[in-house]
Amino acid sequence: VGEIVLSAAVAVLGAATFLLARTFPSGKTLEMQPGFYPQVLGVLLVLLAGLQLFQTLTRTRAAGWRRTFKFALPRSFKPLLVLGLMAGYWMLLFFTGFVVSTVIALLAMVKIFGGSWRQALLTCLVGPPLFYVVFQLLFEVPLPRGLLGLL
Amino acid sequence: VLDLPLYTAGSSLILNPMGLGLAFLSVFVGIIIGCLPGLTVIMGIVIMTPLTFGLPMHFAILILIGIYVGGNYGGSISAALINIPGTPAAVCTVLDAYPMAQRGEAGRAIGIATVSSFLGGLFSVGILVLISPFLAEFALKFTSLEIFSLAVFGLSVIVYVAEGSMVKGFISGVAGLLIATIGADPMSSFPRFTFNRIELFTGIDFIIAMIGLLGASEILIQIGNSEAAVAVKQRLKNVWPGFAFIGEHLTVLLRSSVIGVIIGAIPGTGATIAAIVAYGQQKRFSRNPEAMGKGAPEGIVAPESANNACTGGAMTTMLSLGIPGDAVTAIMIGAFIMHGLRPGPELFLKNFPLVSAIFLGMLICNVLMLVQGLAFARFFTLLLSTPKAILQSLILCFCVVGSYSVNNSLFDVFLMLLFAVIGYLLHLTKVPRTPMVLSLILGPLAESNLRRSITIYGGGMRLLEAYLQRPIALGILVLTAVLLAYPAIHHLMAREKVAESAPAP
Repeated sequence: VGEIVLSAAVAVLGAATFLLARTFPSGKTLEMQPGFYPQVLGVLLVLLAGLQLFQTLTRTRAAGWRRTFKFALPRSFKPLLVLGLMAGYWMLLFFTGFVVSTVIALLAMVKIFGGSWRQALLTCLVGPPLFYVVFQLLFEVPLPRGLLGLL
Repeated sequence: VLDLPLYTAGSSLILNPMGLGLAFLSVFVGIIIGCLPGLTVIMGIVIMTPLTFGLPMHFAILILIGIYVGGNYGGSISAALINIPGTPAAVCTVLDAYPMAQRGEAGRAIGIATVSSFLGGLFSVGILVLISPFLAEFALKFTSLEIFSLAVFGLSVIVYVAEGSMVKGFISGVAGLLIATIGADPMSSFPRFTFNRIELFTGIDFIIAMIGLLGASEILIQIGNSEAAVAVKQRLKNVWPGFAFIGEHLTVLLRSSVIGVIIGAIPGTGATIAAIVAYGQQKRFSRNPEAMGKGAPEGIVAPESANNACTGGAMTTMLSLGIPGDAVTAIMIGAFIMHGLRPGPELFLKNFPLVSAIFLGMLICNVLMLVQGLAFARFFTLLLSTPKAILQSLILCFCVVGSYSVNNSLFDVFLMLLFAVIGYLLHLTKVPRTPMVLSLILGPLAESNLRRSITIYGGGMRLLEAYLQRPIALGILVLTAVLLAYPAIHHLMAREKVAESAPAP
């Protein structure tokens, strides 16, 4: 199923690219205006999706439907949880700035990754100052500030 | 004839306390990144690149080189002590280094890996210094036709060597080319796929895409399959293997280094492939092949010298032709672009001292790697007990802060997260990520040079005529076609053989 979903997603991406690129100026085919190259890429993606689907179906027929049709879910839902946490971290950065959001994010992440409370607290204490020293002081790269201008 | 000023022009740039200090620090960080399982060289380079924005170009590249050289070597430490390659490039080192460590010779195993990595790296620096100026001089004669052909060749090889299905490699590559079209059209400035977002008008920053695709997504992948590492607890004795050992293994060192340099120079390959090929060749040429896999020194010498020799090979193609040899050099090209430069033959003409500083930087980093590898082996061993939960959390924060610092924009952090999701989905569907990464670099190069060629020579038959008049461009395109057609031809020939050998009904 995963392979078929992949083929379908690639085909949709290719078709959408082609249709969107048709709205760009294309000129004569061989003049290569801005729309020509993305249109070619869109067609290529659709063709590749077809080829991928063909390969999957051929393999499936050879191996037997029951054996091949397993939906390959990830072994744990932790990646999704971490992604959600990262999205939350991103939003917090906007409101509270670097320090508060990083302390919260590090605490949550160490716990999700299976660390102890001691490790989580230690990371929260060491992490933000470490980032501040390395980014802001050593390499003079600015860190995000929140809505109130707080670091 | 050696052009001496070329090799010394950059000495004042990096032979100073700041330069040497940064080189020392970056090699040190590189070895730590390499020796900790789960942290790869690519990830190290990706998270360190945003840090270098505030630095002058020569220091920025020096830091990346230090991490590249140190990281490629560092993988051998965990390979010897915990039977887990710290980096994929140390996958073959495990086979002999761990059995040697189990015999109570962990120090010797790490020492052999250190010296082999150093000599492989040194050999590749020699090749880089000798060959790249000539290659660049030759490449100066290239027009947009040759550059377009070279970019297409690079793209085809990337897909060719991608792990797993070739079709999936192509999907990843074409999707990368598509992402690279986002933003203002390079010739007419017409906005493509920007959806009226002003942030997308300048295109998707290569570094942001890298941090998401190779940095953050790698952590997401690792969370699903975490494994506990058990360290070999023993005192490291006799780390230095001795000059006699080097003399005895000179042929192995030389052969593997040559393999490493050649594979490193081929676009889309990298240290892992170099190490595997060198190990395989050593097994073929060994006087005692049965001993390999049971703690034979040559089983450590071959992959370690090859994976570090790869660095010089990849840098040769990157510096002289502007084509990335592997994902690491692709990120380095991104770093060059961030500083307003593009590697390639013109770099040798316009930025003479920088090229020289890179040569010297490679040399210094290799020497520092040898010194640190031998002197701090015990310290690196201690680091292996660092909890993964702390490391992974800090890396994810590095990814967020690093992507913000590229343009001081939270929109870039959002894009990085989007690429992390894409990278994770690609992993779930077994689509390789490397072709996408390299397409992001080669795509714009291919498109702009093709369009430039069409403007100069005209489209259709006139372009074909131009190709016929330029044998190098035509040769590269023919080679690309042969490479792409080879798997299909090979498959057909194998089927014919099977049909011939099958008994008649």
